[in-house]
Amino acid sequence: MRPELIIISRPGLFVRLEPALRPLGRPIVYFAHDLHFVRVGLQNASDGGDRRASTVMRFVERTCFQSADLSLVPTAEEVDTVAQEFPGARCVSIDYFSMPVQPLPAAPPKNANLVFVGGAFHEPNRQGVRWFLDQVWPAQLARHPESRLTVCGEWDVQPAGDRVTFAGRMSDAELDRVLGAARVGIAPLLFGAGMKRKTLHYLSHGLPVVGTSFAVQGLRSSDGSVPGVLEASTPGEWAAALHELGDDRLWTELSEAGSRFVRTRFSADSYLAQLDRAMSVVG
Amino acid sequence: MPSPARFAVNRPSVIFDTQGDETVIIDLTNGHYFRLGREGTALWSRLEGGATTDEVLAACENPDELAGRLPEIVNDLLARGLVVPSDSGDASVSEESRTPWRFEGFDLEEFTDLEDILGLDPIHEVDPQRGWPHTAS
Repeated sequence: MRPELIIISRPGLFVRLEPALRPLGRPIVYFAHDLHFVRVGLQNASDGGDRRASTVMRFVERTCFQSADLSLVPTAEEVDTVAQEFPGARCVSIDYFSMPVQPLPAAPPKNANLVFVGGAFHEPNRQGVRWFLDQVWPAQLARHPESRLTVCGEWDVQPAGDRVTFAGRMSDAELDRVLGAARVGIAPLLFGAGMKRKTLHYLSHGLPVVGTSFAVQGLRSSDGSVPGVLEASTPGEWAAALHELGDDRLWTELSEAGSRFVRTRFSADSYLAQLDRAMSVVG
Repeated sequence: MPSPARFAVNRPSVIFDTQGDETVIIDLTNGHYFRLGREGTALWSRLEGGATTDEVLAACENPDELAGRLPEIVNDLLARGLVVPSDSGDASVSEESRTPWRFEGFDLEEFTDLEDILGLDPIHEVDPQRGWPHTAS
């Protein structure tokens, strides 16, 4: 059986497989969930590392984007980056996630529980949580001593006080329960690339989000806002945003707006329509 | 190492890029990558350009220094799987491969910090229970 279309994800695999599959004469699509050279470059800048790894990733990704018949990336910003960095590449963006929306809670949870979803193996998560615990958490506890933080995912660290729980890897049902019971989803990402699943995951549960600009990449409306999200970058902005979400009226507005946003833009129908449009580029 | 020997980059598992005086070689089977500085790039570009070891030596301005090191260098590249013996003829040899040059060393550095991005097959090599980026045991 000859395939109609070949889709390859991950840069290392693409570069290895594309030459072998090219003789089949079918369009080959590179499914890029991330621009690694951008993320690794930002990570190098953040931790003072050299540019070696970013240079290597740029070379590999240039090979992917320039040899694919079509590349898919998560955001319009990344389409622009690809056009600028890799002339000749044919690239379009689609929303990568189809996200089922959970029923909204009947009332705002009566707690100050924060939740973070993501494992430590992903460096933006590791550095983001570390920054949050160092720079924001002490002020949050001083102002709202009843606060708790639950970090969901695999982490190799010791608990940071009795109000922070590293809950480990959990089933979808357990995660739904944790998200459904929390007051705020946090995304303190200091660098990164691509659309962030965690942000959409919080919103799909009607959970208002406080996040950095990296947490909302690809999610902005035409007026620059992101429904359901309060953006914050400095520790002071984080403290203010978390405090604001103690207001039940604001919380409910953001909860509903975020849930509506995910239901409208990230439905299965919307995802399939975008995929169909993208694939029409290569016949 | 047979003499005269000709080598080629072990494509498609291995790709490389030379920018100025620096070369990056990537082994996509394990995600390891290698860096060559100016000295190493001078020799690498001749070998991957299709020159035989005899031609590389003939164009070298200090062949005695190179002759003592060349078998070890080539055997190392072969053992790492970065190059393979090639039976392509003279027609494939680049002009640059035969230009005079001076051997000043071969400084191959290996790095493994991108192996999860570059080398891991997310379908066949990842632990199904623990998920990415844990490899199956």
